[in-house]
Amino acid sequence: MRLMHLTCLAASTLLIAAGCASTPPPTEQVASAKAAVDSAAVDGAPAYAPTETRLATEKLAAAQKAVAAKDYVLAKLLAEESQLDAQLAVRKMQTAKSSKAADEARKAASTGGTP
Amino acid sequence: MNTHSIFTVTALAAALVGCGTVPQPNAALDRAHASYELLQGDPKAVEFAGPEMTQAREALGAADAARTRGDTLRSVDHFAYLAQQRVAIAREATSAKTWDKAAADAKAGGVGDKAAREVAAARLATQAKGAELAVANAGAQQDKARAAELEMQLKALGSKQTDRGDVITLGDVLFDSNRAELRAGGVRDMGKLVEFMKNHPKRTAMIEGFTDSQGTESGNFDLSTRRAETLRMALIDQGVTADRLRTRGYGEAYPIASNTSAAGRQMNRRVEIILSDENGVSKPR
Repeated sequence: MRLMHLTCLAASTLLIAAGCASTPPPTEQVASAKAAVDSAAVDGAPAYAPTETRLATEKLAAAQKAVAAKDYVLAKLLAEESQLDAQLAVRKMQTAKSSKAADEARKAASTGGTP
Repeated sequence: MNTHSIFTVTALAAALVGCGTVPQPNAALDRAHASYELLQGDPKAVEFAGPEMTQAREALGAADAARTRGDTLRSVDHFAYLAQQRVAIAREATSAKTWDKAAADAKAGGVGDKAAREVAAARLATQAKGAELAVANAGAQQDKARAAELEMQLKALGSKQTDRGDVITLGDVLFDSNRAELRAGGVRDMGKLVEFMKNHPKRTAMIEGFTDSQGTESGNFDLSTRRAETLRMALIDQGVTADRLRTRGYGEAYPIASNTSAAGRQMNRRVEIILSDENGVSKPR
């Protein structure tokens, strides 16, 4: 009976620890963020969405730092935010390009030339 | 076997208690909801950005869930931020497709009224969106979140806003009558204050001691000074750096209640901690 008590106590301690503390390294999230940031840079997003690109880059660096410091909770948050910031930067660039294309098409149509 | 299940239930309950608190209102999350609803009212968003809208809705759901299960403010803010960015992405998708359509119309039908209208509408959408850029708001959002968190921390400390700043009044429960040493439980009560000082490293604190009018004036002055000093030493012991803490004893001056009743005297025996602003500036008495 006493042994069972001890086992249960140990089990409950483990449960509590699992519930609050243990977070695995966010390897996947950091990799996705890095891919998003890299592809935004290659596509030229920095010129169209400098703020978002900078935020994404800074957060990725902070996430990598947090991983090194074993603060996996913070690292995961930063990586997830970085990824979306980078995606938004690319979207903004697409909007800017589409807007320019539409203006040119309309100008070409009104002057009767071909775009 | 029965014992077993009781233990498991206890453990689960403990795990829940350990992580959760009562859901708090969250300004960032409210704003994310408002942005989403605004965008949902735009028929073009529904037409052009269906998948992105779905992702935004799911992100909002995750943020709502985080708040409901009592995540920390940082965690709820994080999910709210993700939701806000998802909404912004959906908005960009809407704008880009609207422009694409305008371009296609211009190419197909020349400079017809329809094409002109499309371009005008697209330009308007882009401008309206520009006015409330999610990331431009992010800084303000974080400021607000920080302010809200600070307010909560101060509230937990029982602080009051005065024209001198945030003032925390510690009653005489910390000290025995006519003694300057902290009671056993006194140090533990200061845990929140220590935590606050650690979270706000630029803030300084002025610790002021007061007594009731019993005893001699010089004795009271001395006692109030020593009590303030005791508190300072206790805070230093717990890791607050000495240069952020100043003390002063006022004796029986500045009573906050009448000294003619026991209850009034008890209120007058107190230590007040005046917190500076974020830049370390505080007003003298």
